[in-house]
Amino acid sequence: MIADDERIALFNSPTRVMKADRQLRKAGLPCRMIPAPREVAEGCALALRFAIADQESIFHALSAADLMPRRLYGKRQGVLVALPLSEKE
Amino acid sequence: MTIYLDNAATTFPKPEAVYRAVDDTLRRLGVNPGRGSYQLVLEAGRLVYGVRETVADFFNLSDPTGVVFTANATEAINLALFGLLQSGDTVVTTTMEHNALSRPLHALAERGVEVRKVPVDNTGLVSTVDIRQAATASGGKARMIALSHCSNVTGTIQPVEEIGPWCRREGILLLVDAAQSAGLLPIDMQAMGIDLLAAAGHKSLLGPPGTGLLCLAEGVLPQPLFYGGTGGNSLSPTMPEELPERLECGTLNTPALAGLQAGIEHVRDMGLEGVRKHKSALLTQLIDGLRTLPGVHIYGPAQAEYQGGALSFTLADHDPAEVGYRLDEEYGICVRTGLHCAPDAHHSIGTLPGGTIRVSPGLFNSATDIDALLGAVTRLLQRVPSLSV
Repeated sequence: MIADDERIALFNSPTRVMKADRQLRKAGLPCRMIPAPREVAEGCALALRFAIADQESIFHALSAADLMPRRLYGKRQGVLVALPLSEKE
Repeated sequence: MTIYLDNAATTFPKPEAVYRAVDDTLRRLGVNPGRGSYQLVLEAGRLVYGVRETVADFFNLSDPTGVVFTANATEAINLALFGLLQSGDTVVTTTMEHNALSRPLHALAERGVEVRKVPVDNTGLVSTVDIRQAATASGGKARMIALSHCSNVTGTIQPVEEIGPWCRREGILLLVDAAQSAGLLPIDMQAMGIDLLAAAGHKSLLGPPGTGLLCLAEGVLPQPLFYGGTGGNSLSPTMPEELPERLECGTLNTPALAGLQAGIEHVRDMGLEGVRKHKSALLTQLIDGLRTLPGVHIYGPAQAEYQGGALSFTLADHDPAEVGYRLDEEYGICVRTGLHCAPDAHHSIGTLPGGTIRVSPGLFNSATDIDALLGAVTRLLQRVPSLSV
């Protein structure tokens, strides 16, 4: 569900994920809503998945819309790890 | 053929696009938005979010997540009042309100909230000065002012655009019951200083029954009235802090919301000015016609430019209920008689206990319909004795 060259972002609510998805689609930035893996989410939640290569432009668009995610995850050695929101890699 | 003139209760019929949107959504996207993450659910979720955007744009609300969907305006008003007022708070309202507002306020008064009702003039209009005085009277500043934008009895339009900016300066919350005005009168939440806007989706916004909304300005966060599943953060025993989930639990009526979207788009395409012009022309025709008849008393402003979509009148020596019955039975004309769930308003205009005959034309009525009504009333006046004699 999540490749090594991808990130997933978690938001505060399902509607905020929808809002982020809408915003990024309008901006032509590729992303996909997916069920948040159980390692990173308490209970059922949606996450936004995107390529690492697009992270900077995606965060720029989300920040401009006051829609920064609550948490960010990436894969390191096959395991999802929390990443700082301000760090690209 | 039936002539429907009760659009203040709910608009009927709806634009074709509304029927199509409901049918298409129920057939194609009859899933539960926000519950699960498969493609169909995501598409339904995008549809619902799109309706939030449309609503937010229509009322100039900056953040679509502040749009909370409800079953009707009454539910929206209850969410606002019970979510923000507590024992010891003061709320100011008017004597023109619908039970949707006055009954929850009555219940809150029994729980220790002070409710100050400001009287209106003989056209149903409240004075901004009186509202300000009541809100700042000795005994404590009000936490909230709650009033209707437009009366469902007389169509009287209240000066919300004067009250709102003053409320902002004073730090008083403003709740506007826009059941009768949303989709008919311009509403700009930011310019008018509205913190909470409650509206029906099924009246002048032309959506299906079972749609309503509460729009919340930034920073306004009522306590939940309902508790349950929100599709996220399921392990938490408490409701989320975030809107709209905080106030919106259980399955949404996605097909109806799709219909609401189509309804708002219809209004937007026609333009509020066009909508108002159409209804004003019909009301003016009705007022002019009624004035030529003996024993007619018209309530409220009796000038279309100063009122929304409803007009109330009585006929001397005729029970409104009987007039309504005869119009329906003998002429196939649907009007609403009695108290219109607004006893305070009828008390204010002096029409208790019998009430009035209320006529509320819609977008799909024409001058021919008003002519038919005037003709029927003329014949009723000529034909005495009535049923009750």
